Amino acid sequence: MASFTFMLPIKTKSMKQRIVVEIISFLFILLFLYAAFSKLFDFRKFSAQIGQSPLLTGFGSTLPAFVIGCEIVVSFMFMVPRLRLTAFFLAFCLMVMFTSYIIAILNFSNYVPCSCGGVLEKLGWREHVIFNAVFVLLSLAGIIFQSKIQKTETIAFYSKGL
Amino acid sequence: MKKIIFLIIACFVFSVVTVIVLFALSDRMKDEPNSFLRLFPPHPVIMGDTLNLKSHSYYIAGGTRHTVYLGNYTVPLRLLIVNMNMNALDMRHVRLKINGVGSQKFWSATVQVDSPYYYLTDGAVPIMYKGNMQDWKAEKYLYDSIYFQTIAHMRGGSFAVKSLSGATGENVLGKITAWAPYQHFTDRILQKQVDGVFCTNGMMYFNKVLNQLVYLYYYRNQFMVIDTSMNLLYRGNTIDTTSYVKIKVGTIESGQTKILSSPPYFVNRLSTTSGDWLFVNSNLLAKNEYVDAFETADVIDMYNLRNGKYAFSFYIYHLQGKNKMSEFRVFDDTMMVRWDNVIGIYTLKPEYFASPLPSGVEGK
Repeated sequence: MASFTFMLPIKTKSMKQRIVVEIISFLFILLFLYAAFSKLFDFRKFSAQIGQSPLLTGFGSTLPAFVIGCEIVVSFMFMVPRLRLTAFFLAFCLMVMFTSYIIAILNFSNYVPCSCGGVLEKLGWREHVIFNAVFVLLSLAGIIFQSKIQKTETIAFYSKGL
Repeated sequence: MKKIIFLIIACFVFSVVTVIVLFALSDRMKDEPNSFLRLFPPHPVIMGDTLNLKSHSYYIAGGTRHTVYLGNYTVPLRLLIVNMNMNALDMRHVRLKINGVGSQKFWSATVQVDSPYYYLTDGAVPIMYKGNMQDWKAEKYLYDSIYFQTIAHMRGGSFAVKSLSGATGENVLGKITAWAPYQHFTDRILQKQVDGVFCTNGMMYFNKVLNQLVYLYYYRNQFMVIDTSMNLLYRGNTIDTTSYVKIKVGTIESGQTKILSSPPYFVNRLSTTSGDWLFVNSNLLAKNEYVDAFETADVIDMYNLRNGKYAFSFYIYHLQGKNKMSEFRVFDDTMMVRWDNVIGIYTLKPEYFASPLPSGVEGK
């Protein structure tokens, strides 16, 4: 994927960072593509779930396509090294949105609806918050490591150019 | 690094604000007229036993929490009493001992059981009998000169009826009592849109808790709440958008007979009332509903009669995935559902149905 970056002379510390970033990116691609396609597979059901959520009742027709679109676009952005930092930021935004939605459902809603998509359906709402929080932290780690990598790359690029 | 931290905070704030804005917008969309959105809290009713009655001609004549009285359209003088208690599902037949019924012919006799009495009425004869539930003996009751198509026992032997007005030939609501002036009709409640007969047709029930009568149209999104003196208290709307009936009515050439000349376009198929609630089995799919669920279940919409507002909905699944419910009634915290020849009992969860309402599900 990012093969050419490994050809540059690099220190072991940044090497570790690169591996961590690769793993986190891979996890996000997996999560988003899985989430998107399990929703797409039963799109009408997903629309009904959004439409019947006590907090998003009015959005059954617009929001589902937008969420799936975001998940697919972001997972492809992860595959392009140049867009990876942006992808981490977007993933962070999405995960914060999902998590705050769940927290709101649990605390401020008249009732808690039944389900989510795919295997995540098996998760209870509390477990779901923890699962999401882990991904929020992963995206933060990704942002920090990726920004450091890009910094050293820029330096390397300029020093090489000189 | 500072720039990155600033961006992270900005993203965080942006995301949380977006979600809050979505919630606020959604909440506003729910209240808009014509939004036609249903709310489905998880499992407000729990299904209990079902019982095969082995005949299609039964109908629910009345009941209590665990006992249901079933009338029989083909044998009007028989009543089937079914005990739906958890571990003692049993049934027995009783014969109604009506004085002087021997030569009487019936067209559409129905029984209403309202403990400790029962009433057998036939609005096409017309005739009425009142009996007691100890020995099931009954006598002729009230003046039998008024024809009616729909009847609801209110209290103490007085009835609300829907009849055709002699003057206009259109539907009117009225009250018949055992005391003077014996009958009182009003044309102020039903509102004509097409022909005054089909277009105003509907269902009528008496709510004992509120001491009010409810009339719900079949073909438009309106119900009326009426006091026991037949004064209109208010008009409420069901959540769908059919404010004007879609049916067309024709007249048969040979005579005065009116017929429907279009499909019936039901808005409200079945209904009942109990406690603070009007239960409506709507025939229409909401904008936020899953078509597959709608095709395998009957949807019941709950309206709070204290404020006339929609509160929430739930599904009653078709029997064996195919039979739509034929009728349903609610007695306290139990709901009796009949699908042709099968009767089933559901328990209503008090956190959703208790009166007065818990603040959590108060209609928005």
